[in-house]
Amino acid sequence: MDCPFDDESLAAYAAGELSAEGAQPVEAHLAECDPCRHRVKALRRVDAALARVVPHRPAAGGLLNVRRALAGQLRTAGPEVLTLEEVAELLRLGPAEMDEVAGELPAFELAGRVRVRRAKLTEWIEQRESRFQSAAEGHRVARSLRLHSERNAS
Amino acid sequence: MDDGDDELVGLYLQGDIDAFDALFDRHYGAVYSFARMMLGDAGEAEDVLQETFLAVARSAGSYRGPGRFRTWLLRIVRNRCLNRLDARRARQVLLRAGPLEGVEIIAAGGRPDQQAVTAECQAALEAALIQLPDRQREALVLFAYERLAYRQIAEVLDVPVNTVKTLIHRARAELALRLDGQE
Repeated sequence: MDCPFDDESLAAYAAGELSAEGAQPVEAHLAECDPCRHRVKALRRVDAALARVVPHRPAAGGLLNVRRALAGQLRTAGPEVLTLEEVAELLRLGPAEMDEVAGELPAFELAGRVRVRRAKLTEWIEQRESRFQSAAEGHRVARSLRLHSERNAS
Repeated sequence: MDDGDDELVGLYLQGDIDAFDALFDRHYGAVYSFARMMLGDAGEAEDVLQETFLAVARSAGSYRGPGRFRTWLLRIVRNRCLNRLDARRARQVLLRAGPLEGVEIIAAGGRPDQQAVTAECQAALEAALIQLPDRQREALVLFAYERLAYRQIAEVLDVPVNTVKTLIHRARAELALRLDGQE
């Protein structure tokens, strides 16, 4: 038989999504078409199975691993954009000390608030680290030169 | 479904890590189950769970509510899954493993024998479901496993509601065809 309804229409019918006017010609057709009646039956079986599915959940061990990994990553990650309070906390500085470095921070203004990008803050810390190291290196060289000259003088 | 999510996101953005944990507790099941059905693999679904919440931690500021956290989250999951499926296809590694391998099914009540029947029926359903085209599979999983409304599915997939209906009807018809001979 040349059926006037495709799978999609039969699926909409089986799901009860057709209006009364839309469903009526389908019902009339089903009354005289065995293959389509069979398809609707099969669709309803699938729908019944879909209605009973139990969503998968992670195994307890797997979930624990994810929680641990996230906790570790969050300590180092957190939001990309930081408030000044978060910067102070990360740098372990009090309000007075923050005032001292505030002008140097790689900050930007957004809707009247000061914000710092985490990546920029990390770069900024790294710059200070290398400055500190070269200063420390310079200090060490100066100190050893001074010792040297003192020894020569004596 | 989204009751309180927006508030938790706001608290997290103010630095409240407990709020992030609460968001994880509320949604990890949905994230995992969607990824699990998209990828057909428990280990990969756990990876996606972790990646997704890390993405949430980093980009919670870009969430625009109200009441859309679940769909925003499932969009992240979907993108991660599609990337993985692309990579998998690029490697020509088609996963043929049964969807229930190594996975605990937590049956919702019922007698043990009844649970076994349900699990067996679900396994057959999923073996067919996992072979549907990605677009049909994601729409049907969001519908049947995540119990989202058509409108919400449209939001996750970024398509019109009518497209969602078509995808789901086609997916159901395809499953009916594939499972028909097995009954």
